[in-house]
Amino acid sequence: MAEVDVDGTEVTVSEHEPSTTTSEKPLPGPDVEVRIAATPAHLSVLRAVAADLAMRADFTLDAISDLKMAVDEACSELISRSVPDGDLVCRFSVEAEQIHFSAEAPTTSLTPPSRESFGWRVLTALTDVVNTWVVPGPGDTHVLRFDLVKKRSDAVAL
Amino acid sequence: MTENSSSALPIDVVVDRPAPGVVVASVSGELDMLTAPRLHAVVTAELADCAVLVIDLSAVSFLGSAGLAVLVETSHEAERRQAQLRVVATGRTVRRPLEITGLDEVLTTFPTRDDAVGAPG
Repeated sequence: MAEVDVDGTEVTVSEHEPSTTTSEKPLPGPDVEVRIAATPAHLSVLRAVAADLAMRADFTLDAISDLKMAVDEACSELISRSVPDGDLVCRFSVEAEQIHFSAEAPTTSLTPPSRESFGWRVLTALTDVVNTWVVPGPGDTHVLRFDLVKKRSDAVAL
Repeated sequence: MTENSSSALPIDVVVDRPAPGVVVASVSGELDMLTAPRLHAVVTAELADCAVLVIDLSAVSFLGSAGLAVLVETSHEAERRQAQLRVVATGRTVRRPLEITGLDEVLTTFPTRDDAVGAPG
């Protein structure tokens, strides 16, 4: 499912969890987990967490700003597709040279976000790896997930 | 007092008319999914009655894709009305999202409000 986009970002859109993880090492628990109501009013908190972790991890200014924007983009997409009163769960893991961010929210839609959308273009431009997929949730619901990796230096070409 | 200072949202849009037919909308705060509809409402209303619309993003502390989408929609709407949209974009916070999406090539941007207002029509 994974393929490399024009700008070198590895992208996957599928209805199944990718079978191989793109991270080099086994994932321990996240360093920070935030569970919050899936509403746009909370986006600024999530951006603040992303920026703070990236600053502490010595990210370059551009990489901090890119991570903030990527987290905002993924979470905006999750919020707009969330069921009413759904929870948005975000996990940040600070790894050796990168921050791994994953987020999920319950949704009624089986279809992951379109790769033709402006938002997807933004995400692939901002991150080093980005995946999104839908998994079955409790009852009739489904869960939409985003998974992205941002490296410490802003090596992503404009 | 400013025209829109009563907003409880973390954004403020102040409208000013420095010359006949010229409207400047100065945005401060965060421009994201929560606040972008507010900017959209203000600029859509102003666009009905101006030849030049300047959106000044100098005091914007975050620009997400919802904000970028408002800029793109406004530029299309301006084109339909044969008005000009000029965007004041200065500093990393605003320049970076415009550059990474290529919108700096599509939108007409200026480094300062004075440059945008004084640019030849």
